[in-house]
Amino acid sequence: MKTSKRFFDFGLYKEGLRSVQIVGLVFSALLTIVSVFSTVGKLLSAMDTYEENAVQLTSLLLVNPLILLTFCLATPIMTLVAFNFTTKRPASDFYFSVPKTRNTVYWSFSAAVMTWTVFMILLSSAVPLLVFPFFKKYILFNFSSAFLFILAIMICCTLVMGAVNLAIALTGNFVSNVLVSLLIIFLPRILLITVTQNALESIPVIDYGSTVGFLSPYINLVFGMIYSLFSLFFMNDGLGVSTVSFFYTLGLGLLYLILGNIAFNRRKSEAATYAATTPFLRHVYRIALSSAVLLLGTVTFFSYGDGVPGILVITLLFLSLLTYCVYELVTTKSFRSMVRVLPGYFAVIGVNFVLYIAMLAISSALLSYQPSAEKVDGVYISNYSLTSTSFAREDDAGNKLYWSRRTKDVLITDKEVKKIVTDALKQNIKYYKNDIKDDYMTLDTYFEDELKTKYLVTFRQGFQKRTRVIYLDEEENKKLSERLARIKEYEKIFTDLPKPDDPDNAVSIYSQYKLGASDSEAGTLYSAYLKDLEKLSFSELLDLYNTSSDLNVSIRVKTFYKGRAYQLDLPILSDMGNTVDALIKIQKKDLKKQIKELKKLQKSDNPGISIGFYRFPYGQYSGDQYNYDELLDIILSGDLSATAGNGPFATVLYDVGYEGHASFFTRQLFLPLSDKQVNEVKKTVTKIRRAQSSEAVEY
Amino acid sequence: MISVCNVTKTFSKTAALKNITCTIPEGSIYGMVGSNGAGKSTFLRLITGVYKPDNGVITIDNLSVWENPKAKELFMYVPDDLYFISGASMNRMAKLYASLYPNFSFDRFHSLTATLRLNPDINIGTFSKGMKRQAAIILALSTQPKYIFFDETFDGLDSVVRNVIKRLIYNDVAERKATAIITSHSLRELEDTCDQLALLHKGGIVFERDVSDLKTSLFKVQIALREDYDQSVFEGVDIVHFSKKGSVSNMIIRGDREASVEILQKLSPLILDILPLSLEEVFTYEMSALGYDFSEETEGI
Amino acid sequence: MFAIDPMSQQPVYEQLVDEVERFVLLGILKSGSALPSVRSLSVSLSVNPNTIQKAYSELTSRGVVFSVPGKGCFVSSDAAVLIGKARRVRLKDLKEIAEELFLAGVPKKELIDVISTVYKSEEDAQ
Repeated sequence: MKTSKRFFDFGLYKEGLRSVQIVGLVFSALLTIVSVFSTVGKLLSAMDTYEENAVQLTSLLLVNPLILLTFCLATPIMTLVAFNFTTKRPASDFYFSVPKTRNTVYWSFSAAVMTWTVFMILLSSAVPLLVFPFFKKYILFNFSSAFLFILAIMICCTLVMGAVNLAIALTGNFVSNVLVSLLIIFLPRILLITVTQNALESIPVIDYGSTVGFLSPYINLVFGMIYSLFSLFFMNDGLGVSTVSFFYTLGLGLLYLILGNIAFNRRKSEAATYAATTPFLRHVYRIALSSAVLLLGTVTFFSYGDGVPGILVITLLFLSLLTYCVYELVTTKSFRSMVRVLPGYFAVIGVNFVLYIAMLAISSALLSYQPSAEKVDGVYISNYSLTSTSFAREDDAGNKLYWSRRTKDVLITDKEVKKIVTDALKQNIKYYKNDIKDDYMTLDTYFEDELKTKYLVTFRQGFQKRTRVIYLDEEENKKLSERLARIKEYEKIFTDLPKPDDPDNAVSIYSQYKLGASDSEAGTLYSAYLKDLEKLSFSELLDLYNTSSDLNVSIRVKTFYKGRAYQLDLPILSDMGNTVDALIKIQKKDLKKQIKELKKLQKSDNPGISIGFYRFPYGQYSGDQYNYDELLDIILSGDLSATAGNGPFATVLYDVGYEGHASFFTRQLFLPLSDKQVNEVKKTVTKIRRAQSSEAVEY
Repeated sequence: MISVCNVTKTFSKTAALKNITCTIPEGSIYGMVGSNGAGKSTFLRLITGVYKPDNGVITIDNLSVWENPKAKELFMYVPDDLYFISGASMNRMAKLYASLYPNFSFDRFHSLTATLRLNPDINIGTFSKGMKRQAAIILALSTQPKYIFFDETFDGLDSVVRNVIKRLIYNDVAERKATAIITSHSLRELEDTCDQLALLHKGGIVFERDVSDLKTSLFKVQIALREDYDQSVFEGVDIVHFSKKGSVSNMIIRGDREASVEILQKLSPLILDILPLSLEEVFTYEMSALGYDFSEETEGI
Repeated sequence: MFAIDPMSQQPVYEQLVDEVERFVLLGILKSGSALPSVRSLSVSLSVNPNTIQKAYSELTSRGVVFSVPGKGCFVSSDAAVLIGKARRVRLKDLKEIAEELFLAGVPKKELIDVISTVYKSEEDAQ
């Protein structure tokens, strides 16, 4: 009983709840109202579009988007309000004279803020969580990922509250509270990423994207979410939110809370209204902020050296100096004080100088790694575009994670492979140091013309693994590919795909357009696909995994590998006989109806229909082109029960809307073409081309 | 009992209080006088655990004050700069105090608000400055503390209210052996209320004395003798201040009145008038005797 | 009940002592009767309770009152006598005044008349 009283007082807690209740209520209401509208709206639209057997997929974030405002706005504002007493002398004196220890004051108020935060998160999220289970028919809502997401948001709020608490404990007025909070939340990671990213990126043999863990912007959930709003790699539920980032962010949040507690205890009440609780800290904040601004220049200078335009350096120096002065002016409201601290600006330059040296040191350390083939135990190797997650787009990311994971299981100890790879590394670095460095180009651009192939290689020596990017010229590449193809284990990575009949795997069709296939049909499609794959050579297979479908249809396989879930998108190419036939078969059941639909659409004013021809070079056509209707009639006049085999076929794309609804989807039909049809198409196309060229001549 | 032992507090290189030592006995009403900046508020903030002394020890009932809720439960502090939760009514503040202080009495609270005719339901922010002070005093007294500290609370308070408050304090002191510390920059405010008085000047306690002792320690004598004389003729009497115009001298004498008068009478004076001094005058003379010159500062005292 | 003048140069506790003795002599405070509690007196007179306490202590040391722990202060049985004895000291002042009057040429009869008138009116009042 005594110990709990030392850290918590119900009276203060209630007072804390009271003091932030306005903010808490406003945000709770806002979030919940939006959540209600979104949930209901989503439900209604799903029910409307249900006819197509389309279960709508949605996530908590989409239905309760304002939940992001909790850690961005609500929690920090509430924390600032709850601890506002530290910025005013009378209030500060009051709370330090009451018969409660500072620990009690600190944790009671923090608990109050957290209570409101949790309340608004749960209240707003309860709406979809309670409504959607009754509408499983229309809405596919992943509950476990929703809970994970809620947990992630709460962890973010903990981090933000911890940082704001710490900032408040270390500063004395509102403006500094806010500035230093931002500093604490963003600055460390920005510095870390800027420095390492630039140090690393300028070294072409380093693949920045492979650096996960501590250096990644996503390990810090708060930073990651905001960072992903700016970059376009937006994290969906499922992909990208890793357990590590949960623990790291939570740990960081708790660390800040505890540091805040210590700082709060040591705080002098007389520090209220001053920018920082000690003069030393005031200098620290100002120098930190200005250094960050100048760092942009330092880092650019590091990457581009003499190539940097002088004007840029001068501008950043000026901006940094401006930040330095403005910070002092805004927080102390004293011009004299600003003038007095001007000489301290040299510290900013000093900090940047040190960081510059650090970057140099890191880069030279990295470049010095050039092992000989004998020293290396083995390598993990794969084509760069296949496995590197650097700047990966969302639809690619799943694949890369999968291949990356699988290649990590096969250690290649083949002497020849090792030799090729280690030699290439040495060579690449030599090029960089001698030929390129002065021009500060990356190896990518340097080799552009020479058609070099990029590989991602992880060298293993004992327990150490080092990942590098290497470029091989045609000759070397050929040698390597041949060698790799002969290593059975390595080949298996790419040929040993998840099985379609395995109940742990979920197969679906992934397409921009509606194909109307059920899960079991997708399974059949996949089996056909695998048969087609058997015909491909190893390098063709690798190329396949690197391309996207020219039909805009892929097979999406969700599988488990060694305890983790992966999603693989396998592109369907138009020359795959079995697969296309399977697609055509899938469509057969509704084909008559759909063709009727099409013919009706054809007569309308703005049909918006596109035609594509495959397996013979007659291109793509859309509605406003010559003889378009003729082509369409030809296509639609075929035998509906035929299959394409290895022969030509056509696809038709058209939009289907619902009466009275703005929403629509695009349907894609696959229609085989008989020889007769092909001839007629040839004739029509010739007509079109003649008309086009005569027009051209006329003009 | 509050014991302050060798306490120093410095703010950015200036010492607000230097080596303060004093003891405030239980059941006393201890007044502290000093001009602005003398260190009165700093003193109170040190005693209440708002500030931490740079060195020295402060104990209340033998408990160290700093970060010690047990000690802090024993007192209530009414600062010069009042704080109320923004938008709060007296009732809300009362609820907060009730949860923080174990002895809070709602009965007392209600009867005090009735006596002083304050509305406990409305926002304290709408009160006048005087009413705010009354509200703070009511809340403080309602916690029935053993020690209560008033920082310049009475300065400028209207006399009717002051009287009411005084009586309340007397009641607590008499009934519960409460102890009060009252600071002021005016001696007049404290004169008839306190039984102990201390003078704080430039961070140090200049002196600390029982009020009735102070009042009787010095007295003024006007004396005229037949023959010519000078000060030396008055040996045997402790003269603090001496001035002579013609044959009439005015002296400030310290010591037992009867004994001193007896000695003077032996000189067969033509005129011998004994006049008591006001507390202010006592202060002034004591100060100059100690070597302080307050010619510019007497306005404050 | 007691008349205290806070503005007077005489210390309050001295005034209070004098007042109590006056009341005893006037017979308003009879032997055995209780003095008001320190608390009630301090509140009604608006005087520091310690001052009241000091006065009561002085009266106790003079033997005019005695205190019963927990119950308060009571007038002693021989209070009037004690006060009277103490007041006798004032005869000295009378002596001095008489000397002064003699020097000023005031006839003895006038002095005695004054004294007789005072004693007669006081006795009548009682």
